[in-house]
Amino acid sequence: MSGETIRPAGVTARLLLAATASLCAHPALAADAPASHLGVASCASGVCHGVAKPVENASVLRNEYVTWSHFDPHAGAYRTLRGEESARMAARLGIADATREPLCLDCHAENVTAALRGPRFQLDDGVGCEACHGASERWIASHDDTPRVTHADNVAAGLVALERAEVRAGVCAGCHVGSAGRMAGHALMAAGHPRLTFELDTYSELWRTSGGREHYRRDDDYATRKAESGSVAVWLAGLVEAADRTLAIAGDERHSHGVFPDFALFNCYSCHRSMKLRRFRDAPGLAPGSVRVQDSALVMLAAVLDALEPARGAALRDATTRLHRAANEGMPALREAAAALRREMPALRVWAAGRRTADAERDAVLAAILGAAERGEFPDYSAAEQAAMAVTLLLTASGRTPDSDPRIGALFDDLRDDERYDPARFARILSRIR
Amino acid sequence: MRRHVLTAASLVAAALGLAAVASDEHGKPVEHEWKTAPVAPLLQTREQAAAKSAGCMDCHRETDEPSMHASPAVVLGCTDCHGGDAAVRWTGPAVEETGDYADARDRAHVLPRFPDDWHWPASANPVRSYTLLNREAPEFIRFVNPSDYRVVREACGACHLKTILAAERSLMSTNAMFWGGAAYNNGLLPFKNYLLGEAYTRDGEAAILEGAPATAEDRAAHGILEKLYPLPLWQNLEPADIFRVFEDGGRNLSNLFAETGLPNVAGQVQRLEEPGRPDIRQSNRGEGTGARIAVPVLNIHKTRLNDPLAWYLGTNDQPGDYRSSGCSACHVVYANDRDPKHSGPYARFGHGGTTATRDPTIPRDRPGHPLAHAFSRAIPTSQCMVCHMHQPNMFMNTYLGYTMWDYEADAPSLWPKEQKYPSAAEARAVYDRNPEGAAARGLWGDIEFLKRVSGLNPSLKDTQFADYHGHGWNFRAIFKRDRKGNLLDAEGGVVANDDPDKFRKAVHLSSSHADAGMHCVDCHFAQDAHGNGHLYGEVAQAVEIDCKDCHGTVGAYPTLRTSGPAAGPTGSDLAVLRNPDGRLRFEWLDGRLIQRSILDPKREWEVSLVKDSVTPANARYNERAARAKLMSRDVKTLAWGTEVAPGDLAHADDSMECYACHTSWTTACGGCHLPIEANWKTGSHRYEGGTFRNWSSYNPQVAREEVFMLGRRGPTEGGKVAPVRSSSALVLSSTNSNRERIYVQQPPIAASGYSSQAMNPHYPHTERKTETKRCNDCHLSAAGDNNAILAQTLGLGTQFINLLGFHAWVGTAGGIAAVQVTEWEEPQAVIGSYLHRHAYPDWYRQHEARGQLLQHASMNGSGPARCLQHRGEYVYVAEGERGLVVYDAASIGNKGVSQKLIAAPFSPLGHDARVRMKDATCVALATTQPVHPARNQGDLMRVANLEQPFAAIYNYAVVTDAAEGLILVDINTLADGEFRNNFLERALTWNPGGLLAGARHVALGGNYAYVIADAGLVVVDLTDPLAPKAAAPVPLRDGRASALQFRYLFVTDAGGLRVVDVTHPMQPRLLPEAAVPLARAAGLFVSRTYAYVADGARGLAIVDIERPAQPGLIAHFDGGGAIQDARDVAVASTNASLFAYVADGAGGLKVVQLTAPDTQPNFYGFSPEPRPVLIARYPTPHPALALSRPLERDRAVDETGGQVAVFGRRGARPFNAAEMRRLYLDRDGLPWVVPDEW
Repeated sequence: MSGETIRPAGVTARLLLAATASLCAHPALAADAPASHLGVASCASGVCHGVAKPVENASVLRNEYVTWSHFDPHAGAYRTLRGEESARMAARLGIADATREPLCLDCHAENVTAALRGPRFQLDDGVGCEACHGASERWIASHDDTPRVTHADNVAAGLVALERAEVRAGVCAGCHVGSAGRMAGHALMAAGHPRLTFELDTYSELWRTSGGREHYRRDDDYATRKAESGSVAVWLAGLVEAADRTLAIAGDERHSHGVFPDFALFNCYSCHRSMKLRRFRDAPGLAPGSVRVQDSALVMLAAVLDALEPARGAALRDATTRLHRAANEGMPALREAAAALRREMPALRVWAAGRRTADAERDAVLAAILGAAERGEFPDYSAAEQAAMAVTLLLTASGRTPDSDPRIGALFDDLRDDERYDPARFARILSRIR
Repeated sequence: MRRHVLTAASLVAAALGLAAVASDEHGKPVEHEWKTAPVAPLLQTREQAAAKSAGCMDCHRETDEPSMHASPAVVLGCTDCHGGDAAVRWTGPAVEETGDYADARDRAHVLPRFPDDWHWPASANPVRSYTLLNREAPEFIRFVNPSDYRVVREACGACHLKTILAAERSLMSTNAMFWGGAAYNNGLLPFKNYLLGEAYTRDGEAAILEGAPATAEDRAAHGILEKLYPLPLWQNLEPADIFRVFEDGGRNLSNLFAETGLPNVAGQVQRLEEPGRPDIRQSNRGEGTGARIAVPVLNIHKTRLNDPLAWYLGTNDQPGDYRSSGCSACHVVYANDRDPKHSGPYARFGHGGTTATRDPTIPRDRPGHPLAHAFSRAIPTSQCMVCHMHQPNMFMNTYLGYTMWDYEADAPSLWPKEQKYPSAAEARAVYDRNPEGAAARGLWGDIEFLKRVSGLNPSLKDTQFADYHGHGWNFRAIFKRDRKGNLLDAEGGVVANDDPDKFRKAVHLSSSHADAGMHCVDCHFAQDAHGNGHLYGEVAQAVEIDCKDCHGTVGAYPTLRTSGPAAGPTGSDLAVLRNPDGRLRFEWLDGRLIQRSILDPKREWEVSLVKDSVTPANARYNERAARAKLMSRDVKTLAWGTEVAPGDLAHADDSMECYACHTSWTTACGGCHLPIEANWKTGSHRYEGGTFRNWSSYNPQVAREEVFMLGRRGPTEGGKVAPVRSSSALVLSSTNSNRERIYVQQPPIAASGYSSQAMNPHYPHTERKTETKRCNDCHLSAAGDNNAILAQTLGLGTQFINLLGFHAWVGTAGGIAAVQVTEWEEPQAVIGSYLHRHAYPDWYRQHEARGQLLQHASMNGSGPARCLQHRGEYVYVAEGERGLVVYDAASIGNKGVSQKLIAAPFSPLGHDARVRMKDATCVALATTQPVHPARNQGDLMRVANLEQPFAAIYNYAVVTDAAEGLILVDINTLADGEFRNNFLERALTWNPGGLLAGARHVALGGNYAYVIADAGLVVVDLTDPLAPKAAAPVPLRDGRASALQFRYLFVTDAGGLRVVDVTHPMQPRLLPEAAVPLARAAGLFVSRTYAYVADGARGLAIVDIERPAQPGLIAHFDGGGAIQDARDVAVASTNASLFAYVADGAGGLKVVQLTAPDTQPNFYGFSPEPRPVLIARYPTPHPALALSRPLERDRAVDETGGQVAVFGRRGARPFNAAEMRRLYLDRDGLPWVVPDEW
């Protein structure tokens, strides 16, 4: 992956290389749909989406399959399971064969039930077209029949409306965050699975242009057919979705080990840091040494709310603190706290979806994040990652940073190695952006 | 039907005039009001589509893939593609014999214009429908086959227009490679950028095709043609071959034309007969009229060779011939072959062309139906073989390990016990299916027998047959053999000929790709099948795949991007290809490249990676592969390995095709005979159709597998070294309406002046891992035993697959005798031979009863013919004091001509082909193949066609005169079609200081003449023929004759057989140890690893010369005392057997069968040991002294690099002298050798 010319893909790529080199995805909604997955080959025909080069004057580029095949990391998701590292991980976990293990396949392939696999469906295609676009059985024959068939008709037939931020958030977060019953738990991490990083807008753009090839083009024609959410809305939707899914997992018994939730639910950097580092941070309401659950999305959301709706921001902070405390008390408390927080999520989702991305708002949010950074509210690597991606997308959305802004580059350079993360240094670099 | 589209070239203008031709072989037309159905839509709802199928499904009930496409994304109703009326409903049974049913059917269906020809309402493809499609209403064509190119835009165009445009232009539709090649090789059109190709309009009219736009640079670089014109009508094209009957002048038989405007109504002027002047010309009109027409074009129109291609339905008459037209020609699978290697999963459906559809209205037992109503990309090789089974049509039997049968192998099982005498009607019925002349006499002419031929395999002794029989032909399997012809197993061990299991133990030389389960479509993907939209004339130019695309090179793993001649700038991306089951076709897994079968979802294989095979540490390292691929050019050290710089590689992949070595065998069509007959009234297979008189059967004569030759491809394929095959070395005969043979077995001359015994670089498709070419197939062996092999490899010829045809040309003390030694009927078996015994048992018995005496000979009564050479329609004779006399032998087979061998056809005043000399002793021509250097001139040949110039020696006959020395006579006027300028004169007389006193024999090897004179062997350099140079003589004891094979000249003298090393011709070196003492050695003939020496009373001495430096006498053969005075000998092949023809002095001509399936089971070897049997004799009235050398069918080039035979493909050629020498001489001119164990 080397998309140096594309931003934010370029800068983000460096980050990803550092932390999540073999990160993969999951077909969130697919398994729930009753229609069949007809397989990548059903889309790949040379007269459909398998044209060698992008086609001008067509509603879509028509080379999506070729782009996916060569440049989209999702295409290699299953292949990853065949690799030596996967075999080693499987051995550590007592899994006979990663390529047949539902735990792995759920995110590294379109692991729908056999009954829902069409005649040309191939599991080893990894995360294929229908993992994101939805099972095609009911719309494949008609989806190009414009104007008789509209996008809305296709969506009604099962095409996933990925242009809508909250829909896309749900699809991507299914694997990139995880969901109840399907997550990269602490055991998997311990066996060698990379840590998950996720920010919906950054990842969307990174993926859309992976390898320097566009999966789709946001041209006039696209805008006419699909009202795509703006990047801030996508970002917020991603944050809400990530928070919601984290909470859902936290509240799910299947992911508990005795009195503790799965350790992967905790912020990695609560524990995973060198003992030489003296980076004590007084967390209000939390005893020293308390481990905190994975809260990067919640922290980021709170920062945004601080700028736009301070009262809700404060409430979210309080609830987050309660969650942390509950996590240290045991599973029942955690479940209860998580459920309480989750109850806020529908409203937040609506709020996020309705955000206008006016300049003033964006600037306020940016200022809030930078302020939070200066206050030391991104004490660990995972929060800093989120901050870096958020700042980048906000600057990009407002058109204020050129593609090759060295300050952005410096930010991601600083995040190259999570073991060398220093909050003070990061805050200094971030402050130059203001 | 007009040819209104033909406007651009003068060539095709000739075709304009012909009026409508009666189509009397077709049924009566029935006209309807046809309604053209709307074009099938790109998209529609399922409900809309269902409405278009409603009535259809009332009877058809269910079908395999309703839209023909497996993809659910395609939504089509029946009438979208087929037309017809889906609103007509039926509530009764699916099939019913009632009037109401028929009424509903006829209202729902589209009705044909020719119901009888379609056997309406039967749905099977009719047999041999050919031009029916051009006559039929397009609406009905769309009804029976919506993918037929005439109407395909209406059914498939909405989605596939680009592919349609490409496919119409692909060679599989245009046939341009065949028409262009045939036109050029037979002298019809002088353009190697071909002009002709097949295409039709929607209404079935001849169409000009324009290719996709291309720049002039791209055209030049890739061989892209601008336009293709329809094939002109043969009836009004001028003759391509300038045989004597086609020459201007003369009088002819009564005129063929109704005369108008003549002063006397009886046409007396045309009937004028002049005393003493044979009446043999074809027409008194201009060229392209009457019978003065282009016979090769007649064959293309009418003789079933390549046709039909994609514009037509298959002939649907025999296993291997079932298919549709247009897209469906390939994408709809028919049952053609029961061998899973050929048919993959379809093998179980048999080879009878019957269906396995779910549609209840389609009869299960009627041939001519596809297996299913479904398009498939899983196209089996057997479907490709429907077309690719004939030599000029990208002969692909090789891939499956087969070649054309030769009528001899296992003859007892394929010929009837009782000789057949087919009536004309019986023969015609066979020839409509199968143009082989022999088929009417053989058992396989019966289609029920034909279907069962492969079932004979367990009981066969000589070969095994394939289960497909396109064109009605039989295809024999090729097995691994050593050079002697012994069957070999995988480890190289000899398999005994009497081993009942021998064909299972011996290696069947199919392609290793086929062995891996691959079908054609596993290498040749969409573009190779459809074309890229450009027009090409050469098959190789139109191929996008290259070996390295999947196998990589010594330095790099494969890119999975196509890089062949027709690949686009970035190539096609093989890594994204998907098989019908949805899986990736290619996938890298743990450093291994996996390819998955298109036909069989359960089959996959690992692709061999060249880089792995040459990397010592790799598990797949193979030393032999590494040595060959990493060999340096340093022939002194033969150093090899990864340290050799890419630029120093001897066998680099940018200068050599991979298959130059990775070829287990090459097909060689060492000759076929096309005997045109005026009295066969037959239908044309193209354009307007119609029936005409004149038809020719098609008779492969020598289809061999051991003729391996190398040459160079043209620039569009990188000029690489590639295998060269003998491709359709034609000889033509013609029998006019009075059954007079107006020419007999004549090889045409190509437009470039080279012989039409055509060669071309090609990809044999017989690649294997073990059975590849070895070092000593192309370089001198340390053992010194591959002189004959190298003569073959370099294209010099080996005097083995020579044609000595209907007549043996014997020089006698009283003139020439043309002795008929074969039957005229097909197969043209040598009388008394093994084949004769089986094909003509009655006639064979009669021959035996006659004491093996041949019955017919034509003679002239001139002086002693001590040395003679027959070529084309002339015989060149050294007649002592009468000098060189060139006899016109054009009418040798013409029963209407009494004196068949004449010195002056028009009186000596109008023609004088006699050159007076003091004592002419011998005559030699640089080649026995007719050539005409004068045609090879100017920018058209040099620049446009990239032809090499002729060596000057080809202008001359070289004569020795015992008194005058060496005499050259320019003989070009005999080939120019002009009868008024044949006055031969000597161009040179040369005998410096009496050096050539007593000159008595001459043999030519390129620019060098090897003269036997009193002084011994004198080598004369004739590079500049009019300024010869001589080398110091090699003394001999009364030298007599010589014969050349590559580096060695074999000489007879008083001591017997001697050998002279002529590696450097001007430094001849007699090998003192290499001598075979013979008492009366005279004429000799060298054929591969044996020398046949006429040894007087002892008969024929057979000498093993596999190691020329150590010749060894094997045996004398005198036919039980019959041969008593052997003076000369010639060797030639007829079908699968080798024959010697002996001039036996007073004993006349003797015919000896050297090999036959019953005497020498190894007869398919490169050089099986001869097992001579005397089979026929002719007592010439005067002592037989000499034999003409036969037609050398495998001689592409001479020993000094002078090209002899035409090479198909622009810029392709045999090796030049320097390239040849690099294979065996180092920079110092010294021979270098390769170790035998390599």
